[in-house]
Amino acid sequence: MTDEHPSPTAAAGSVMADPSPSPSHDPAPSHGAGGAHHMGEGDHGAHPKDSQYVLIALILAAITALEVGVSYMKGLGDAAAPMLLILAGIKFVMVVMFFMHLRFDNRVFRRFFVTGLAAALVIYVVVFFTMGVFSSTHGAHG
Amino acid sequence: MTTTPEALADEHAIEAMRAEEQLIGAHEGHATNTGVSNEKLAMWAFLGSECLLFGGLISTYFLYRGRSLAGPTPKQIYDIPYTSISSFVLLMSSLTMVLALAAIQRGDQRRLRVWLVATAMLGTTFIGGQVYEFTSFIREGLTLKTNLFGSSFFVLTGFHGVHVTVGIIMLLSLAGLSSKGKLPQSKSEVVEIVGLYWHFVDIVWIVLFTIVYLIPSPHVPRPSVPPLQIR
Repeated sequence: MTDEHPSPTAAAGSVMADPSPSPSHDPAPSHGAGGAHHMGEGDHGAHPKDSQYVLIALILAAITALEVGVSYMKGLGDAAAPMLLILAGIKFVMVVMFFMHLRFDNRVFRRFFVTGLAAALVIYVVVFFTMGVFSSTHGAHG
Repeated sequence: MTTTPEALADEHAIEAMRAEEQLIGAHEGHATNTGVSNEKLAMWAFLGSECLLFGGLISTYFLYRGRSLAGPTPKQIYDIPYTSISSFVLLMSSLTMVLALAAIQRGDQRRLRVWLVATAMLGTTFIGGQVYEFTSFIREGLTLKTNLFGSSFFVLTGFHGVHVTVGIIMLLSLAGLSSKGKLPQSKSEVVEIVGLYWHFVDIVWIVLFTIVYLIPSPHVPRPSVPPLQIR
């Protein structure tokens, strides 16, 4: 496959010279009117290398194994559920930050996603309270 | 037809602008109102809305947990080691997806296709596992209509399965486009956007695996009275 465009370095130099302002209020707006992918103004750092992606995947696999182990431990009692939720949360954040590049991308994307996520959490926690999920009678009289 | 010097100058200016836009597009900078790619922004907005969709389904599952009047119950039918392997497979598909994106960003078309097909294969393995799981649950007497657990479980995991299937179709389409030479390095954002969708499907499963399979259901024994007769 041929790439008809100039080298990324040359392109970066060209587009970074673009004076058009970015509407983002971030101190370091990314990709603003033409920030190059790897060295745009708002990039918080270069994307990980392939070997780093593999390392992240191995960590995720190890956490999954730990989760399964925790689910089989009878001695943990009520502590098991919070532990499992924390481990799932770590995996969730790792995938979003590294594999979905939210750590390196423009903050506008992060805001869009976090808004949806936060809205979902707030709405459904309210629903849980309304339906009495957290009360001791839930399940017994449902 | 004669061309005036002014018209010629305008044409040159337009051509120069187009060339600049192409250059910008090639390296993921975007001359848009927001300063970011509209397509990517739309995908993130879509994923934000998907949080609400899956949030609703997960909440429904939560509300119905331990409320089934009749079995089978989760404890009776779940096969945690089997589902753990399925989860591992889907997790690894996120790795191959991100490697596909890295490949196209380097302009490595061969590796792009290899990783896209590998991701699709891992996704297909996951779906195959889900089909097997659903079939075995149905054999054991748990259907969509059996009890509240069956209804909420099949709807929740089924919706996720449909999302994975859509993702597989998109991945295979990308592999096809790449093999036809229609997915150059300059269009790497297309792979990135499909990748965002795929990773989202993975993070939804991370939550489902924990909430649905690993956290034990607080099943409260019901008093031995017959269920209400609804007329």
